[in-house]
Amino acid sequence: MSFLQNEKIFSAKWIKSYLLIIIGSFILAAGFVFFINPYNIVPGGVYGIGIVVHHLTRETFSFWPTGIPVGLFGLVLNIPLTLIGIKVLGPRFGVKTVVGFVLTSVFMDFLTYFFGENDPLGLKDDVFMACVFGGVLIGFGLGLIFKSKATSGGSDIVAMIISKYTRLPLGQLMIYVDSVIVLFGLVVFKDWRIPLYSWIVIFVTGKVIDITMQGVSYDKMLLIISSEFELIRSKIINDLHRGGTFIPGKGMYNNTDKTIIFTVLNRREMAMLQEYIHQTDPHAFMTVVDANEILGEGFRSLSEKVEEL
Amino acid sequence: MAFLQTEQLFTKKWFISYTYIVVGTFLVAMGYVYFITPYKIVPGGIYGISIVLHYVFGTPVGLTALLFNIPLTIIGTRLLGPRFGTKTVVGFIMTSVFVDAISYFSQYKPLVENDPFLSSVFGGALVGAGVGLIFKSKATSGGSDVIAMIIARYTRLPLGQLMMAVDSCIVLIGFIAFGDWRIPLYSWITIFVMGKTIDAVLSGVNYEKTIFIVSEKHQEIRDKIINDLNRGGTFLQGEGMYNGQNKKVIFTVVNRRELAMLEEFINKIDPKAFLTIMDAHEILGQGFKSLHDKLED
Repeated sequence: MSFLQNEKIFSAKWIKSYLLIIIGSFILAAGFVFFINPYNIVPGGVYGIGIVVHHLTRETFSFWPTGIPVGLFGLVLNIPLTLIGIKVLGPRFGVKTVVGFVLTSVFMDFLTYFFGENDPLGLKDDVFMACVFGGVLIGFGLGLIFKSKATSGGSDIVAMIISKYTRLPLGQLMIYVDSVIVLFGLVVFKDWRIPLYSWIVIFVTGKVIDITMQGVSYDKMLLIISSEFELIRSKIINDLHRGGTFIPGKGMYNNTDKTIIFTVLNRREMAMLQEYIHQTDPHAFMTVVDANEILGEGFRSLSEKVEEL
Repeated sequence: MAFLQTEQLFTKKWFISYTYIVVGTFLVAMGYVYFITPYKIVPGGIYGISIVLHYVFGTPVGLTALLFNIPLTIIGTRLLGPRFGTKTVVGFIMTSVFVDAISYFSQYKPLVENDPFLSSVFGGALVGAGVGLIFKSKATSGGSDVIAMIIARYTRLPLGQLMMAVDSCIVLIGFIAFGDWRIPLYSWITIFVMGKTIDAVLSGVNYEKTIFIVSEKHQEIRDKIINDLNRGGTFLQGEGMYNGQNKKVIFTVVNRRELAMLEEFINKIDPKAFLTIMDAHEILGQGFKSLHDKLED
């Protein structure tokens, strides 16, 4: 299994990948500079450590009166982490990952230089809102970077290495590693607000990454058990112009043969179908499940998704 | 159907149950004392009423709640039968004790000053996590739910709706007592977060996906799932609704990463395949956590 993606330089796919990385890194950096860094929130990750170190090194260096720049410190942590990651885990981190984290650091320090680090958007009385929007931007930026098949590098590499040796699930370890960094923020800033705000950022970031990567779907999967399956079939095929599959089943109570209709519709079509079934067979049994994603005829095709990038 | 769970004393299972109750009631108490009570948030339940009474008459929150819970449990047992076991009683007594003990140290001051919104979110998260653990030990939360159960019994209205109605009444009492519109709004946020957190604790946060695949190339997809991903699956024998053609539907569960690999593979051999992908709330069985692990842990 190869983890590295090879793409031809200057092909359409290559250009698209790198556009996603550039835009993603910029949005990610903007999220930190405008919403997170000014309020000393520590939402895990190398930049979380960077924010703490920035605060600790205030007035240590004459040329950095407010402390070591957050982006630069993140970069300094990312380089050895990536090298160790490659040694321990094999060549998992491609050029795109490196370009991603270098760009994020550069954008972060440039934006800080231009907009300052002292409450640039005037949100200091509404830090909660800053956390939510910071989480949205960071999540959206990371989602775009992931879409280009780059990894985020940084503290996730630590989680991957621990996961390799302990066999604990990676998702859990990432949360533990980030939580340790959040608690580090609590110890340094000695303010309970820091971890609470930080967890909000982490939570929102996670949700927005998922939405960015898989979209929001309002499609529903339906399993319908009804004696009038023929009528329901013609409604679905002829009026709604959707497909579907009959699955033979047996009732558990008295072993009668039943036909289960398996179909996927959008919200509006589902309302129309329910209305119709209500008239033809009020005793029909229907299970409606939110589908995250539907790929295939009548919906987005699988090739659109896999090759989208 | 027996509602009462009997467990032998001092077995491993008994020990785990009571650990959940102790940790759960402690989290509930921390949530009330450090985040909810100081901001006069009234998130329904017996504790909502007790918080209102605390600010009106100065009574201790935990003790007041205990005084409500004891008669409610007795009435509930008389009207509904022996539904509430020892664990429920231990749970509400410990919550009351923890609430008053921690309040003694906190002096009714919030952990974070001047941020009721943040507190309403984290109050809901802590109480939700605690109640989730208490439910995991198979205890009930007692309290105002008993009122809803009794009304449900006589009116035949759905229990879930009644619980919300009872809690909403308590929120409105808070609004009347404190005369501040912020109280019901913050309280609903707390109630919402609490509900979500209870669900997350009970079924876990899960990144597995249930997929249904309809494809001509079901045999190749099967081989990929079985041999490369090392997962299982089930073929459902189906018939296309459009033209009556025989079809095989693959029903399987994979994690996010495996899903991406599988999609890439299917796209190569049958780009016209039809896939329905759903979040699985919980998967129990081979290749995942077993049902046995869930019920015994």
